[in-house]
Amino acid sequence: MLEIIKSKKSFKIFGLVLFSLLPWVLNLGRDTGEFIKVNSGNVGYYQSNVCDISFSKILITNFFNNNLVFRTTNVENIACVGKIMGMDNIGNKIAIYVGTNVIFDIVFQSIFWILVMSFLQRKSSSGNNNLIPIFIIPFLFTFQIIGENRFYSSIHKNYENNITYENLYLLNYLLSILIISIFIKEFLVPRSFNFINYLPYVFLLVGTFNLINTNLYLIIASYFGVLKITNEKTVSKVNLFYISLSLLWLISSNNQNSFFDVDKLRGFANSSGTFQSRVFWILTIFLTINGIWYLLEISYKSIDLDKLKLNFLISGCAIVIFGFFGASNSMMNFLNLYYFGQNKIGINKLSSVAGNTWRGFSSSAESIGEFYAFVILFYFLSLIWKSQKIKLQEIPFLIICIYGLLKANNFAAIISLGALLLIIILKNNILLNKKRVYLLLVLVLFLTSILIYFIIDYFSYGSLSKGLLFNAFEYSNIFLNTEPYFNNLNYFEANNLESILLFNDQGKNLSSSIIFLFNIFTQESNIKFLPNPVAFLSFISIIINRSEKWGLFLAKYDPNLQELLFGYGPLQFSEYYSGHPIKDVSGLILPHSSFLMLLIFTGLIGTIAFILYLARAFVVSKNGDKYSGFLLIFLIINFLKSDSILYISSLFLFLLTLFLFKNSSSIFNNEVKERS
Amino acid sequence: MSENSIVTNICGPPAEGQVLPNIGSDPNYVFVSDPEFTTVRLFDLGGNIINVNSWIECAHYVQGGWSSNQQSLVNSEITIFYILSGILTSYFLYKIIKNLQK
Repeated sequence: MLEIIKSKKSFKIFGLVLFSLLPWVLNLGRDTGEFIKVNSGNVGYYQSNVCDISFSKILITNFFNNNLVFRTTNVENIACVGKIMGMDNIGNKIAIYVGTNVIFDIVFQSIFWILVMSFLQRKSSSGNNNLIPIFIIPFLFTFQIIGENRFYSSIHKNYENNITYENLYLLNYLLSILIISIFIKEFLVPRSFNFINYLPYVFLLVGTFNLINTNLYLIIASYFGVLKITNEKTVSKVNLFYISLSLLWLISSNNQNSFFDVDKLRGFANSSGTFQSRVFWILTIFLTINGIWYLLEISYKSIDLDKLKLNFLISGCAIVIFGFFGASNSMMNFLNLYYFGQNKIGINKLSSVAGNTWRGFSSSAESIGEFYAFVILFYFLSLIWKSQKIKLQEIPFLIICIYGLLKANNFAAIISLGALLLIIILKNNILLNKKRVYLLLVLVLFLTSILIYFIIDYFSYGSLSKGLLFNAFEYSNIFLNTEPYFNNLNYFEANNLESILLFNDQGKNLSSSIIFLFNIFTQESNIKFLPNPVAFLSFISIIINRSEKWGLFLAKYDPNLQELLFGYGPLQFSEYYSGHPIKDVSGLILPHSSFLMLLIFTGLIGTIAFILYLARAFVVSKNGDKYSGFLLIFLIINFLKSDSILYISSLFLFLLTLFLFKNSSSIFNNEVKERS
Repeated sequence: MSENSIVTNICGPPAEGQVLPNIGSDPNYVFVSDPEFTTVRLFDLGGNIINVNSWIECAHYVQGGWSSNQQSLVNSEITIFYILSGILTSYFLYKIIKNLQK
């Protein structure tokens, strides 16, 4: 038996090595050109000898050459996979284009990642014999290629989206996803019971396929989503609500063949506005959320808080370590992109937040900052849950995670972590009777009032109350081609906002959301002693440094009534980004609030339903573990000012936290029982 | 269509005063990347791909027979199809044999 296990492990290790090398060695012995030293003078040689020389030769001989930057380019001819497809002098660096093939990448990367996951402990599962996902998943993900035709035609020149037997391009996609589905069935389904303890690694192994707009976790979670749906006899209220919204999204879909540059959101955003792409993302998000929840449900009995804590720490440290390797070495930077499935190539500087943060492992400083703060919070909570003390061997891990948090530059995460840890310490060490709770509340209210007084005194009430609208007006298409005197600042200082709208009839250039807030702000029937809601929102936005980003959101967000109520659909950006013209803003500027993203995707109805769902979870879980709510509160506070909901790893973390909270009475009681 | 109009069609018009130097097949000539130039992807009859980053580089390759249209490529899609089908067939055969052995 031991021998069989050993031989299986050897087989897996062989597979891992094979599939990690294949992208670069597939055509190793078939070079048709001579390899010469790479320097700026020889760039011309490589420009003339495209697809003649293996990249692996550069990989070996120039591993420590930091003057090189690497990019992959899709090649249709498999003889060019792993070959150098071009070279350019860019500034003082040399850009090297490496040939890869998207179909091979899907197969190589997914098999590599699934084999890594296959080292988890195995157990037979009831869902093992359900073959329905194997039939559904390949068709679903091939449907994405049809829907997002502008994205995929930019990668693949010979792109065709007609469904015929002759369209080998589509057929190959279908077969490659079928292979992944089989691997999921063979290797992941039997290990799904153990999933919950290893979830922290979704932050390390990002899982986005090279060049294309798909992520492995979407496929895996959708697979389990299909298992859940087919195993259930009734439709849950949440699913029924989502299905109702989906119908509205599809009915109101205007089937625009628009293009949204997914950039750092690659793998988890719709790049198009076509009907097919909407269907794909609506279905995929439905299955993904159901799948993650199902995985949590089937694995929570195996939860081991010690293991989960350790895996959080290891994952956090590995991100720092590999991030450093990537930042200090160009080749490692490139290999990180490919092997960890990063959305975007990591930055090659050690300074904080210069581009996408933590060297490519996270596209967002907020998201990775939240992760590190979460790891630290979870660590301290687990000490309380298990009545343990800090172990000496855990201290280096903890220090590295704290370093990761500091370098992520996420002040909101640091402050909220500090505040929650303080409350936890108070809660844990001081016997809080009713009298003490009231005393504490009065103290907090008193300190908050003093803080607000100083803030208003420093900024002035005028700028605090109007800051948000001012920024929204600044980004809007107003005062175009006018004398410099006519500008927002002068009108805002004169408190003459109505005149901005009347000037050259430019009020029609403002988004419906600005007009809505403007009308609330300028209404004369304000309730005494209560701040105007817009002024209050503006105050909050300035305090948390979101005035500009939310102002930009208001300038762009121009929904009609139906869109306001029900949104545009999950991960649907086209209408928001290209719908309402504003002044030029470079790059992908997101609203920097997961709740605003939710408003864009699901409208007021969806956002309110989500808030009510969370509120209900808090009400229902009154008798649960008294600490697990801190994790959820931490994420909710941070989601207010971050876009983390747009990243699949953060979605996993959020659902894990929600699940732990909702099931805290059984999970943590079991832990306590085990302990005693 | 004249050669010049093909170049203009694929690479866009040259900047004012820009002419294509006599590069020939000089391996020592280095194309300088133009940050103003939007990268163009060119293909040759062998299915090879190159990204060109300046008008001169683009014009040079277009005159050498490269095109932005992918015509009569070495069609690897059929090869990929055979490889993937082979993997899947092997898997299903393995499963059938395993089931028969039970």
